[in-house]
Amino acid sequence: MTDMSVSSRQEAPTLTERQWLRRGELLAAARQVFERDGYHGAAVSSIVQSAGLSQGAFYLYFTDKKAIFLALQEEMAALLRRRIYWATKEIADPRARVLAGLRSYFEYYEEYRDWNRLLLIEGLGVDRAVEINHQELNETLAEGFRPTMLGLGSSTPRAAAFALMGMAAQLAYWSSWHKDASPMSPKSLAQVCAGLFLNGAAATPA
Amino acid sequence: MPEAKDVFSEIETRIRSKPDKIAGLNATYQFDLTGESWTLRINDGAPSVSAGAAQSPNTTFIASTDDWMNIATGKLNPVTAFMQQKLKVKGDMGLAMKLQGLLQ
Repeated sequence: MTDMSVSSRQEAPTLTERQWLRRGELLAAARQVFERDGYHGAAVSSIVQSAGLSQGAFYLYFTDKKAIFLALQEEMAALLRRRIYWATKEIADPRARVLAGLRSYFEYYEEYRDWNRLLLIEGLGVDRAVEINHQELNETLAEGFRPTMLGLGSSTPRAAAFALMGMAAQLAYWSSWHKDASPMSPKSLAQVCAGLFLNGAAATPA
Repeated sequence: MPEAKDVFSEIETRIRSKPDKIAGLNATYQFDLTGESWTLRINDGAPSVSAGAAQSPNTTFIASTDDWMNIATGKLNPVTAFMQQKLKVKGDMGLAMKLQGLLQ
């Protein structure tokens, strides 16, 4: 006997544990193939080959290449949102919150460098849906930073949050350009970015 | 690093903030971590979290406390964790997917 009956107006997909595993294998393989071949160079056949599954199996879970790319994008965005949220949740001082949030951001960017480069360089041009997902992520992060910006005394907290994210994105891109050896660690990038944002260029450590 | 109770409290808050997505949903999720269990009940769209195991959950997640906390805080991808058997799921997989969607 169950504690409560299971019912929903929005029917959840019924997947077995094995099917859940297959879907995960496809997602993991897709990320590897996209990072290796780029979006346009990646083929569904390469993804299923990498996952060790049949072509037919792919279409049980995703309608096409774009669909699995969007699923990956949402999965990766969730990771970033969670990291920044938990890294800053208990910090009261807005300056310290900026630093902690940036450090999470740069650590995420470093860990998933190839994916982030792919998304920025190719992914955003794939389809409007990818761009919308990306913008939704930015809106969520900006909303998350809004109280911090108010705490810093900004009269335009939304614009300030987007400005901060813009600085961070450009620094992350610069860092990722040096594929083999980043010029700075995530911690150092966060310190520089926070310093620039909070104090201005003149106060940035050499 | 937050504690497990903070994470489950946050899960409840997050689900509560999406009433349109859980309207009419009735489900019991159990989380078996290292030496502790937690239960998330969604009763006609109203979530509640409590410490301890459920009598007969629809879906049970099993992981070490460390792995679960890493998943919850974005340090570990849940799909990867599942494939590496750091996260095991028993019961209704459809409800597991639904919860994942609610927590995105």
